[in-house]
Amino acid sequence: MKLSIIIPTWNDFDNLKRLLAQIDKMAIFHEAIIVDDASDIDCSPKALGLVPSRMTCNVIYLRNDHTNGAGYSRNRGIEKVSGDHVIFFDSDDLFTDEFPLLLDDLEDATEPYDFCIFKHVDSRARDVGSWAPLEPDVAYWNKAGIWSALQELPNKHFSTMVQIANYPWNKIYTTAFLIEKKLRCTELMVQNDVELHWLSFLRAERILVSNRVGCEHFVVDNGIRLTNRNGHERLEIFRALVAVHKEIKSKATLDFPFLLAFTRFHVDLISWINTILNDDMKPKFQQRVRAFLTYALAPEEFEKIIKADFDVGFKFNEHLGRGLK
Amino acid sequence: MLDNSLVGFATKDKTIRTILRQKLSVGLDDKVNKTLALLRKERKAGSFSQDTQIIPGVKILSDPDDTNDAHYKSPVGRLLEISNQTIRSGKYFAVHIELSPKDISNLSLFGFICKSTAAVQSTMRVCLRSHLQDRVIDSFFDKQVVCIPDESIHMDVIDVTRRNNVPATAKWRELVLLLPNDSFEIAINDLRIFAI
Repeated sequence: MKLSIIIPTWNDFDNLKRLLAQIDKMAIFHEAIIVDDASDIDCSPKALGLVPSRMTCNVIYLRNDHTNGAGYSRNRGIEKVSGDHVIFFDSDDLFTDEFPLLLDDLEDATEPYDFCIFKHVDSRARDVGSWAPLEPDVAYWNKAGIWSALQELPNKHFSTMVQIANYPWNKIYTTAFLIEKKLRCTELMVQNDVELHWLSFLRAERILVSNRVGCEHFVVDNGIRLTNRNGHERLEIFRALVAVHKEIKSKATLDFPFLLAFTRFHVDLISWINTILNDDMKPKFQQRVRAFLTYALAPEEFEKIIKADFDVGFKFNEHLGRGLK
Repeated sequence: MLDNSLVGFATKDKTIRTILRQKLSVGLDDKVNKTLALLRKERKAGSFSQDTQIIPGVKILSDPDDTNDAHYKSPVGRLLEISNQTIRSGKYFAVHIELSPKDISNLSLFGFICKSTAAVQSTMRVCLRSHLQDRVIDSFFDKQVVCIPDESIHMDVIDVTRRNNVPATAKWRELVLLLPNDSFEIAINDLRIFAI
């Protein structure tokens, strides 16, 4: 396997240095593609003290002219990939000892696959003694009955596992799948990975899953990361939601479990954005929420949704009615 | 029994070496833990016959009708994943782990710790099996191992001094993990045995 790793980074010098040192030491990567999203500080390999020619993998360093977000940066990275597999990774996360073992497992996979999703440990879970993702994700892993170091995800559970948090860095993609299915991140400043995550599950034919904990995701509240922004960037999320919605609706036979899962996802996402969004943005956000929800479900679909999950239907209506006099 | 080289690494003083050996040599568990460590390092996979040796010291025994659609894997870093999709309920499907044939008259406690997962909730019963000249005697651990999709840790101990079904001497002994009778997918990700 020739595994390429794409790392978007922005003003994250120390963590990027830490990650690249780990990548070098692991010696399992074909290439590391660093896409610097116009950091204010020099994050080039030279500044990081690296000598690319001495590293265990090829290093490609790209720098954006302006800060465009991780989505744009990841897409730029895809254009440079020469490996047959790709993993997206954040500069502040780290691999665990089990990640190389997962690659060995994948080498033995006899049937072709589109991507493999693996478990991770969230730093907030680790702080309380757990070695797992956060609880809501664990529930989906359990519901899908993932028990093995490597197994095929049954088709009936595509719509279960799509509901785990839409991270890009817990999947090893085949490059062919990304290219042939035209999978890209939405070029937004935040939540660029929603579309990639959902369309990956919607367009995949064969997904592998592993309960190996492959990486640790570090969460820092109130940091400078783009994910902590709460302003106008959040209003753009509907570009990603509309793209996913179109894909679900475009299927010859509407996949109701996916529609239900996606409705669950977007009503919860809207609730969450409402809690973090700056107050001056809320009226405009509400307008867009209403426009999206009106378009998202036909009345008969809403009826099916509320029968299947009353709570989701209730939240949907609540969002739709918020701010109306 | 610990390797002399390991004890020698700690100290060359003969008295201390003897004390260390007495404290650390725990009879039933030393060889088997090396066997299990070996299996954790290896990558293996296959289907079953009635008597399938995974590595020397670890085998799986099953009824002939239960092996039609049953497979095992030993991923690196983990012990054993077993999948049995046979529809017909069988009588016997078990992992047998050979223990050192020691006199255990000085032993007080014998136990194991395991990490497991399963596709759906499944249970295993575990026993210490002593093979005598003409029969076998099983001493079951009190608790069943409950395996669920989320990895869980299970520990159980037998007080061998209080059990009349653990003979002090035996030709040989095994730890037997009895798998479910119907179809199952169970992973024993780690297993360690201790005896004190």
